[in-house]
Amino acid sequence: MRPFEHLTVQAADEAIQALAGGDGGNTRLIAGGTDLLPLLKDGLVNPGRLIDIKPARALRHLTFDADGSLRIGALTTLAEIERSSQLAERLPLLRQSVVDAATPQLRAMATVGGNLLQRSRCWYFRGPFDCWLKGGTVCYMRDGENKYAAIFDQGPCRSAHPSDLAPALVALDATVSISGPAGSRTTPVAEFLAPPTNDERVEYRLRPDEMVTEIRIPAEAIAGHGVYLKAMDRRAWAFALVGAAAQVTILDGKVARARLVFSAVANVPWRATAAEALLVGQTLTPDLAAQAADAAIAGASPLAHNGYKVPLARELARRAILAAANLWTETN
Amino acid sequence: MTTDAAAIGGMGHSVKRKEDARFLRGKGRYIDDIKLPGMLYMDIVRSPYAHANIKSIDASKALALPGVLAVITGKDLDAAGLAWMPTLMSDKQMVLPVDRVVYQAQEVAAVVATERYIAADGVALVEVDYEPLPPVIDPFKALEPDAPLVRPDREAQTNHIWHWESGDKARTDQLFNEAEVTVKEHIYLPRIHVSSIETCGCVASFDKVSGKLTVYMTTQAPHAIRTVYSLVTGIQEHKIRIVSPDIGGGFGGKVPVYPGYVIASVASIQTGLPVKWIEDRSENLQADSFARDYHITAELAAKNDGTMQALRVKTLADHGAFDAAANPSKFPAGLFSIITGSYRLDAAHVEVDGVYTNKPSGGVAYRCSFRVTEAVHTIERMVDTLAQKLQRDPAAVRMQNFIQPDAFPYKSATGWEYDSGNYPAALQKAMEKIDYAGLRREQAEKRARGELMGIGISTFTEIVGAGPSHTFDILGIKMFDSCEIRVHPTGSAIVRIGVQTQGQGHETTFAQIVAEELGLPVENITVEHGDTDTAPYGLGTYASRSTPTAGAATAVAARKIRDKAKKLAGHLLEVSPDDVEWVDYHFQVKGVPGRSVTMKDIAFAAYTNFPPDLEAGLEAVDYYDPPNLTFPFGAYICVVDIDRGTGMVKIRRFVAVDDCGNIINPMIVDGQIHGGLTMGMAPALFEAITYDENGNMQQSNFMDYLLPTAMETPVWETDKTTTPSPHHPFGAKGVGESATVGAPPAIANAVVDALSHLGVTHLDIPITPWKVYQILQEHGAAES
Repeated sequence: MRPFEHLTVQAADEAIQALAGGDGGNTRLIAGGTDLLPLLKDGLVNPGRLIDIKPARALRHLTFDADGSLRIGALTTLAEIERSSQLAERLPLLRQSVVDAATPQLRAMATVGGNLLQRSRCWYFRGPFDCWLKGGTVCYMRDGENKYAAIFDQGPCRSAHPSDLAPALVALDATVSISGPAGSRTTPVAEFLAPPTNDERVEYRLRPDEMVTEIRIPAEAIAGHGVYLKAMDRRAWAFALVGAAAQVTILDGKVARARLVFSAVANVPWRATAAEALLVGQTLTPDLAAQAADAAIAGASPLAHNGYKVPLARELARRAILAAANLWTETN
Repeated sequence: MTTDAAAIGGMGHSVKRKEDARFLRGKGRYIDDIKLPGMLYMDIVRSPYAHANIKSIDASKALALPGVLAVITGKDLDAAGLAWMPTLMSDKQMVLPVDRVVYQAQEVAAVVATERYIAADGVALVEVDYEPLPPVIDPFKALEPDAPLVRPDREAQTNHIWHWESGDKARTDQLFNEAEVTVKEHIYLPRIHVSSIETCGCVASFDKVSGKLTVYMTTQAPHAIRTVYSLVTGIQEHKIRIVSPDIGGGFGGKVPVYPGYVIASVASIQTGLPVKWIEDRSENLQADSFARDYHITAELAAKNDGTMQALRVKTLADHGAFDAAANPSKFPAGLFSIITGSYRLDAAHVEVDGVYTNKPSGGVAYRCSFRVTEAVHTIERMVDTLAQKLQRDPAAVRMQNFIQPDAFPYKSATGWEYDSGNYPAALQKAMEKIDYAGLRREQAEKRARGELMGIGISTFTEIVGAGPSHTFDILGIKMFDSCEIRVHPTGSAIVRIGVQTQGQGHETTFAQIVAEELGLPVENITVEHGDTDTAPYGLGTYASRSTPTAGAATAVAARKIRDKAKKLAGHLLEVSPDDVEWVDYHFQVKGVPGRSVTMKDIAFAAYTNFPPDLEAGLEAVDYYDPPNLTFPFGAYICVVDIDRGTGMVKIRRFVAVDDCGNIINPMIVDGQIHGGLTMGMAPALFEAITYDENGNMQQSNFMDYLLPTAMETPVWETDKTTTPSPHHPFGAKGVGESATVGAPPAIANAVVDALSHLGVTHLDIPITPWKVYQILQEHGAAES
C-alpha cells in the first residue's frame, strides 16, 4: 500500500492554493473518485497527496441563466443530471447521455468534471503493459486484442474515449471553465479533449496546477433537440461499443444546426463534421439521414477485431439523426 | 382434532426461508467475516506466464518488509511432501510449483503477514525469474505430435488424458450407414466461470496444543475435503475439522480443493497462528476451475418422416493443466452420456477425449450436474437441425420422437434407466402458455416484412441425484448421503445433514421434510450442516443431488422416528401400537378421532414417560443410498427479436415448464428456476472466457467478463407439471440445475430459428451482436 496525504478543501480557491503548493503531478484532486481510485489501485497514478474537493458546494449546481444558457458546476454528479426534470424537458440529449453510463452507484458519485478527465479503458493501458500511452514506445492495441479500439486513427494511440457525457457536451458546443494560479480561462470541450501527443500522453489539456470548475452550454445549442444512443455488450454497466450524440435544430422545415458526435470511435469524442454539413439547409428525410451516416464513417480505418464498430457507428448515427428530429424511436 | 397444515409448513408450502433473517440483516457469517485472535493473512504470488520454467525465487526483499513473517514456495512444500495433491478426478495437481508453471495466474509462492495489505505488498516484492516456454492453448494442437508437453510429470508423455465412450458403436454406425437423412454440426461450448458472489477463501487454524487443524473453508463438500486432507497430510481424520459456514454461491466452483486452502493450512501449522486467505475477484476469475470448453461434433440419423434413429458424438474436452473435475470416478466426462435426451433412439455412441492445455483446470462445473449442460445443448441443437433439414416444425419433430409416458422406466441407448417422465405434457403446456401457433403466424408475417423473430424450444432431460453407490463415487467414497434427527423433549428438533447449502435454502426445505413427516411446526426445527465435527458424513451439495439423496435420508430418518413414536403413542393412549394410526399430523386410536396424541406429547414422553421395553430419547440417523438417479425434465420456449441494424438479440418472452417431481417449497423451486434461467441466458448471450495465443486470459474482471444484469433479464414465465419419482421416498427430483441446463439451447435455437431462412443452421454461444450482425451483412439482411 502506497501512503499518501489526504486533505479536504471547502472551495475552489483553496484547491488551487493546495495544488500550487504541490510539486507538479504529485498532488491530485479527488471528487467522486470513480476513475481515480481504480487508477490508484492499478498503480497508474501514484500521487503523494490527494485533495478532496467534494465539499466545495459552490461547484455543484445546474443553472439556467436568463439568456437561456446552462451552467453546470464541475462537481455536479451524473445522477443529478439524470434526475433533473428541467434537463429532461429542455435538454434530453444531456440527460440521455448519462442514463446508460456506468451504474446507479457510480453515477451517484461520478462528477461532470471528473467525467471529462477520465482515462482510457484500453486494457493495455490499464493492465501490466508498458504501452505508448503510459510512456512506452508501442501501442499494443494496434496489433493486439483491439475489439474495443478506436476506428478513427488520430495518432500513436488507438484507444477509444470512454465518456458518454463528453460527446453530448461537444454536440452542445459546450465550453469548460478552468481555474489556475493565473486566473480563469475558458475553452471549448471539443478542444479541451484532444488526442494524446508525444509530449502530452493524456486525453485532455489541463495543467497540473489547474482545475475544471464549470461547463457552459450556449442557448442556441439548447434550442435544438437531440438524443444519445449507446450500443453496449449488454444493456447496462458497460462502456460504449459506440455512442452517438445528435443535436438538431429545425427551422421552417429545414435543418438549421446539426451536430453529430461519437463516443468510443477515436481517442476523444469524434465530431462528424461532414455528416453535419450534409444535413444543414436540407429537409431531414430517412434518405438524407442515411447519407449523413455514410459520411460520418468515411475515413474509418478499423483494425483486425473492431470492424463491427463501423456499421454500428453508421447505424447509430442514422438513428440518432432521425430521432433528434423525432423521426425514429427505440420501438421502431 | 385437526392440524393446521400451514402452521406445520410441510411439503408443498411456500415457507419463507428461515436463513434469510440473518442474510437480510447483514448477519450472515461468511469466511471473510471470521476473525480469530492473532490471525495472519496470506496473499499469493501468481505466474504472469502460461508456461515457464522457474529458474529462481528470491523472497529476501519480501521477507525484509516489516510484518511479513514467511514466504512459502514449492520447494518448502516439496520438503513436506505437499508440493502436489490429488484432484477429485484421480489426477494430481501442483499446490505450489517446484520448477515450472503451467498456466497464467498459477500459484507460485505465498506471503504470510500480519496484515492483508502487507501481505499484498510482500507479493509485489517476491522476485521470480521465469524462463518462458511455448504454451499450448488449443486442445487440437495439444494432440499434435510436436505439441509442447503440459504434464511431463506423468508417465504417459502426451497431452491426451483419457478416452471415454458409451453406447453401441457398431449398431450406431450401421444405422448411420443405412440412414435416409443425417445431420451434422460442430458445436463449441466455451469456457465459462461460475463467478459466485463470494470468492474462494479460508481461515486455517492449527492448535499446537491439541494438534487439531480447523479450516473454515468455502467448500461445497466439507466431509470429502476432510478425508482428502487426512489422506494427503497424514493428520488423523479426527484431528481435522472442516467448517463450511455461510457460502455465497457455489455452482460447482467450490467443490475442488484449491492450492490456497492447502498453503494456508501449512502456513497455520508452521506459524501456530490462524491464517486467512481470501481471493480477490481477478484471482477468482483467472485461477479457479472452469466449466465447459467442450468441442463437440454431433451427428443425428433419422428417417425421412422425422423418426430419430441414432446419435453419434465425438468430443474433445479441454481440461486445462490439471484434470480437476469433481466427477464420479467411473465417469471422467461426467454424465455426458445423457446426451440422448428426451428422445427414443435405437442406438447412440458417444466418445470424449480429455486433453491437457496450458490453462487452469477446466471441465469442472457450472451448475451443470456433471456435463449435462453440454449434453443437453448438443441434443437440443441437433433436433432443431434435423427439423430444419426436413423443413418440419421443431415442436412437431420433438412430439414425434419423445419417449412416451407409458415407456417408463425407460432404458436409454447409453444405458441410463430414466425413472419417470411425461415429456409431451410439458411441451404441450409450454406451447399453450406461450401461444406457439400464434407466434408462428406472427413470425411468418414478420419474415415477409423482413423483420427477424425467432422461436426456440428446448425439451431437456436432466440426470441428478448421484448416486447409487454401486456406480458412483468420488475418489472411492461412495455417493450416498445422510441425515441425523434429534427431537427434543418439548417437541422441537435439530436436523443435521451431510450436504452443504450455498444458498439453496436447505435450512428451510429440510426442516419442511421433517415437519411433514413428524407433524412438528417447521419453525421449531433447526437444520445444521457444514461442520464435519457435528454433521453426519456426506458428499456435499452439487449436481442437484441434495434433495434426491440427503432429502431422502431426511425423510427416512424421520420415518424411523415416527415408527418409534407410534410405540410411544400406543403407550400413551393405552392401546397396542397396532391400533394406532398416523392421521393429519398426529396419532390416533384407529377409528376414534377423539383419542389422539401429538408428536409434541410423544416427544415429552420419550424423555419422561417411556415404557420399560423402549429406550429413552427420540432420534434417528439414516445413510441413504438411492436405488437410481432422478430424471427431472422440462419444456422451455424462448422468443427473440433481432435488431437488424445492430445485431442485438432481445429475449421477448421465455416460458419455462419444469417437472421436478413433488415439490417441497414452490417458492424456493421458483427461485432456483429464475436464477438458473438467468445463469443459462448468460453463456447463451454474454459469457465466455478466452485466451490469446500466449495463454493470457482475456476476461479477468467484470468489465470484460459479461455477467448479465437485470436489464437484459426478461420476465421469466414459469410453470410446472408434476411427475413424481417412483423410487424417491417422497417423489422428489432435483431442480437446482434444470434451468441452467435447459435455457441455453432454447435461446440458441430461437436465434438460429430467426435466421434459418438465410440458411443458418448453427451458431455457437455466446451469440454476440457482432456475430449476428456479420451474418446479416453476409446475407444482405442488415438494416440500412
